[in-house]
Amino acid sequence: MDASSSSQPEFDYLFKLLLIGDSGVGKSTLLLSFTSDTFEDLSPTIGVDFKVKYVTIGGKKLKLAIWDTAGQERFRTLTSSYYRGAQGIIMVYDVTRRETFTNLSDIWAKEIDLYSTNQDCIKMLVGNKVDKESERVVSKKEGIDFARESGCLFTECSAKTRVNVAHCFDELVMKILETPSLLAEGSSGVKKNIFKQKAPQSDASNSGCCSW
Amino acid sequence: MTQVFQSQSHLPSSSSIPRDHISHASSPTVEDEAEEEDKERNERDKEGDQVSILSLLVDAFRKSLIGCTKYSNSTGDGGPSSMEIGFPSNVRHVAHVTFDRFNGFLGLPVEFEPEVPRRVPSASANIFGVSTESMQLSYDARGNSVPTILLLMQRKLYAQGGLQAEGIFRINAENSREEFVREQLNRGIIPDDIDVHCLAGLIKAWFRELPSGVLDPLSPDQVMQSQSEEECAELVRLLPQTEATLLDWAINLMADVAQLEHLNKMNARNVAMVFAPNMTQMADPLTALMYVVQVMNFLKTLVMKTLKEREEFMVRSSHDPDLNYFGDDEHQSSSQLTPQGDSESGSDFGDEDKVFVAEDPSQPNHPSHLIEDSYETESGSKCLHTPIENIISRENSLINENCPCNIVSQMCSLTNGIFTSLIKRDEANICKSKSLDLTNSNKVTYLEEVVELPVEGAAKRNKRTSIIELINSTTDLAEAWR
Repeated sequence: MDASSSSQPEFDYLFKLLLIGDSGVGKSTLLLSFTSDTFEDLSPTIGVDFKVKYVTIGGKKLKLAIWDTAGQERFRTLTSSYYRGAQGIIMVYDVTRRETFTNLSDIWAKEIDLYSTNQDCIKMLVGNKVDKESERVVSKKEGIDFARESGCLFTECSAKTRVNVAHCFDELVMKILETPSLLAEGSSGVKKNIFKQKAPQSDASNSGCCSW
Repeated sequence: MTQVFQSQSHLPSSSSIPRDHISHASSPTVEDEAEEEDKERNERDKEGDQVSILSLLVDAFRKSLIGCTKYSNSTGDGGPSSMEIGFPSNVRHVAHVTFDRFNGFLGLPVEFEPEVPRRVPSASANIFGVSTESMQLSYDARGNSVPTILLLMQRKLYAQGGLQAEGIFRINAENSREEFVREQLNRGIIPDDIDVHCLAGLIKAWFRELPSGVLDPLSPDQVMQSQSEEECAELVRLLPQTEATLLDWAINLMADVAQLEHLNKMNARNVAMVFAPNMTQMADPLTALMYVVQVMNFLKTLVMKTLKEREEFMVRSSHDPDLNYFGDDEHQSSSQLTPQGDSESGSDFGDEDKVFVAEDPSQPNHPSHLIEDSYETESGSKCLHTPIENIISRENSLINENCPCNIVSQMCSLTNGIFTSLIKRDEANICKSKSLDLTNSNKVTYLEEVVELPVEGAAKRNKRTSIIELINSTTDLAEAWR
């Protein structure tokens, strides 16, 4: 993990992104697919996992700190503090399981309203597992409608085939770059200290998760 | 009369009120009002009785002391008004009602019965967030007394193939559906069509919402320091009885899940991981997050230990040559053994169970009748296995004659795989029909199913090619089982 390199000003902006959604929708696999271009069946996440990826978009060097939360019910209250200061929130559902979609509006959207401190933060709805097209139960139109209703971006992707995965993160980051208030928050000078404060706790939970 | 009534209706509802107030503030007030009205009506009736008695007395006074008519009259008026303040008088002991943890309310007067369900899941109106001490209990297949509601959910989960469902205990059910089922259960109604993920979610929720976590009696340091199986087992012994029983039940449930890992993709670690956060309660999120890793490792170790013990049990039984004696008449022996085992299961085999486990390693080579005895002290499910294991061990020995060693070992591991899944089915069945409505014909079907594969193997043992085919499929199955 490249956490140590945060001391050098290698990036113009640091953005905090958050992945939320039901257990087993593929949040961690989506993140793994995005950060290391690999796919595997992963164990349930304990608490919060954390990955960093550097990207260059529109000539700007960006450091993305992506927080991957556990979907387990018990962790819902525990992870609430991680909503703080996030510039982008990705709500993931599984297109083959309707309940993961309905729970987004029942639970997760409310969680964002409750805990997100950032009024302007960009939300994105992501329907995962489109590789299982034959098992699909949530149509693309339903996804688009819900996204429009709750004012978020929308995309469908597959962490397994990596279809649309990079596109999903790119689109979100582009939108953040277009929002001046978020841009100000994310500029390297301001954000670094806060990030450094938070790094130790994430490392602690992280070492536990990845030890297997 | 009123007092008895009040104490009954109030005990359950009072404990539920704080929760209700949080979730839906309007309905309990309505209930309370209704209750108040009831009380008042009762009191008015009682007052009516007493007024008539008093007026009789007053009349008697009037007749004897005519001169003091005015005086005694004023006393008569004062009687009922002082009753309204309500110092107890004319109290009658109507009934002594107790809550029995296995049979619900005992000694309840007939007129109150419609108001209290006959077999209530707990002494309070709710089954979630209530101390186990007030829950109604039943015996599980291992002889532990566990809250009835847990066994009920487990039975439904197993019957609906929940153990085979991918990601069982990890996948969240639809939130609104889970809330609905939870409400129904709290009212004592058990909906028929509950989704397996909903059941699994509610089992976790039950643990999560206990007044204190099952592992809370242990200090985080203790849990952190326990690495080996022995250390973990030692730690379990430090738990109070109630918590130890619940933990044992949960570990066996997790082991059942982990045994079907090839179907549900939940290995010991995964299932321990999703259970861990529900077994402790910590106020501080960060400490909770760190601690949950330790708890997960602790649970995982215990689940692995249980799986190992189950496997050892199977291997020993299927390899013990002395037991072949039973193989000759498997159907008969199973029908003889089972009722005995079941008749034991209801009573006091809980202690014997422990004795059996403790003595177990010391008597692997005992004559068969002794081992048969110890099976009887186990639950019915284990009794049932004796004959099946023997059939297979007999078939194994047949194959033994013609096959190279590695085939035999593969066959053995396959057989064990079948056993473990069989045990689960049996346990599910035992749970399903604690009251012995499990028919023998069902069990015989299982016997035939299980025997099928090895018999086939034995028949083909002279054809080299088909043996190789069999090995391949066997290896696949054995691999899958691992």
